[in-house]
Amino acid sequence: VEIRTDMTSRRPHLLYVAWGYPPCRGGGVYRALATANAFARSGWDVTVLTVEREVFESYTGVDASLEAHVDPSIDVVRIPFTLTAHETDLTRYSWTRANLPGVWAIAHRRRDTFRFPEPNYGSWRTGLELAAEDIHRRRPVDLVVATANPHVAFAAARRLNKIAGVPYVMDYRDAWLLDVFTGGRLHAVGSRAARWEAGLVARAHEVWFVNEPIKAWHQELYPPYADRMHVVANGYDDGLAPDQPPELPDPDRPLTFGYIGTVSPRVPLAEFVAGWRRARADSPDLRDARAVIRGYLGYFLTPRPDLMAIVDGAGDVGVQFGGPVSKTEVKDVYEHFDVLLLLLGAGRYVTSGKVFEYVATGLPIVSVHDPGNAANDVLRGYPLWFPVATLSAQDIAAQLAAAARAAHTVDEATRLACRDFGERYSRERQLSPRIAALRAAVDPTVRAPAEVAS
Amino acid sequence: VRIVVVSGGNTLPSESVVSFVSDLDQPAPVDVITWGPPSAKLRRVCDRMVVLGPLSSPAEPVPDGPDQVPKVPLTGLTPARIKAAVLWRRRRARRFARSKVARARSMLGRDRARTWRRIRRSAPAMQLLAEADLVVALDSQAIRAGWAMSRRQPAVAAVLGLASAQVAARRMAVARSAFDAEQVAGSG
Repeated sequence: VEIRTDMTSRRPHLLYVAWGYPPCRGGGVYRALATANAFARSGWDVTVLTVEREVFESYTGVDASLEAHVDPSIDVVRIPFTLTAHETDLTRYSWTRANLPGVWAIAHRRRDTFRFPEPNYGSWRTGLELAAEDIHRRRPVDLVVATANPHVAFAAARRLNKIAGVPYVMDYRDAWLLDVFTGGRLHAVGSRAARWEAGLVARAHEVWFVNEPIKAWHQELYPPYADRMHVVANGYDDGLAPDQPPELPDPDRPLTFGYIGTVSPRVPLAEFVAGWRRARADSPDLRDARAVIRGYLGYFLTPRPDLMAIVDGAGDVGVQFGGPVSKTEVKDVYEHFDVLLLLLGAGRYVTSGKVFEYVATGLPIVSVHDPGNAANDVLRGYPLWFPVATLSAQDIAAQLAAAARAAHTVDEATRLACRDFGERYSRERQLSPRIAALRAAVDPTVRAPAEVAS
Repeated sequence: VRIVVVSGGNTLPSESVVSFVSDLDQPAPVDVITWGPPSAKLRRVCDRMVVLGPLSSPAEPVPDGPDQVPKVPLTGLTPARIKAAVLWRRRRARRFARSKVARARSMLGRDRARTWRRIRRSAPAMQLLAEADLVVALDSQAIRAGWAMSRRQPAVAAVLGLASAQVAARRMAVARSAFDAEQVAGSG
């Protein structure tokens, strides 16, 4: 990979490409926000290339409080994007879409993936590449970090690399070819997506993944480029964790179990509810306890009816859906929980960003997910961790009861040990080694961290 | 702002509509046009209601489900066994054909057409839509009705889903308040 060396008299310029950026409310937005901020704080001039605010208002939902956390030195360039398949304004529907939905869907998919093999997002490629070229023309870019998904963000990085030799980093929050839930392949060998990824990885300066299993899978797939692959775990954001260790709950007050995040269809919500019912009936520590779910039911603004039905059906045993939480409210919400519920989909490649926030709180955590989940690697050693062995109602109930008991009886030393455990997972600690290495790569006057250490 | 909620599915999500009505920032009259039967609670919170389909649809027993397969001895080619095998294959063929027909109907938008056809034949339903400022399609079967009304009356807003309807109702209420304030200022 060619690294340009004209960096002697100015701050390096980073182009950060992310579809989901504040005020988007999606799960991946915190990583995008933190990464761009970390570069800006490390002395880079950062330009973020993303979509217009209205896109989030229309499709994903907005967390307006997130915009206040964007570093003021960052220049945010917003370009148009239409998520046509999720359009809810019927006045914008064509005749074909309103009357022949199947025919429209086939034509739309073909049109969408014509320039980039990614349904719903592929058509963004043209606008993205033009915008990246424009930014580079106005102020030369020294490094591009593109975060996926959507993977079309990589197209902008590839474009600047092709026309101007700008090095780029591919930042994966999940994976493109790997199904992180099943461990299988999402795209066949030789498919357009596979060919695109191979080309991108071959020219990338670094490739980031959120956990070791995903990195290992890709290292096996692309052995010649294994050394440029790194784990940049999500970590928790500073200022999120409560300032003081949580107080012991009043033994006479019913406990509140809490979940914050997006409940996707992969999450074992029905299994949790069955276990919760059983625990409420059997354990005196769970008498009148509540299980509060905060966030989104499904990936979009509108709650998925099937998930909503599960929650509504368990209202009689204290399961409640409290709706979305803004970034500024998260800290307060954690302070009202006595025990945290980590509900995740199965898969040894799955790590939720939530797990890092959870360990930072110092509260008991009940893991309701497949034991092979990558989140276990983070939680192993956490003093108040209660993982289920299986997703049977009996096992889930047993761990819920144990966590409830611990919430009532835990001593001061254990709570402090939990907080200490969490500190190692701050977002800054995850990002700073990579940022230092990249700075050294684009600026020969700066030495890489390893050289400094030696 | 007068809101008309249209549902073409066999089951109307009454609870969601009730929540939608109670969560409106500014109270607005809400009418419902539905294929499936509404709940008593929904009837109480709605202004007017038109039911297009049958008022009640008791679950019908499945006539030839897997449990109804006649139990026959597994050895020998007995007439009863042959009959069971033929029936089993016929069921499979019918199920396959039904799924293909349903897919074709969906591709061609037949379900949507059914709802819109029934609405057009119903004078009370058309009356509700004619008075609407905002038409909310609750499901895919109601999309064509919402789309067609927005084409007939360009001033009518039409959206899919209750979450989008909340946003649209809020925007319309703000726009209307601004317009009223302008009128008052103009007349003063």
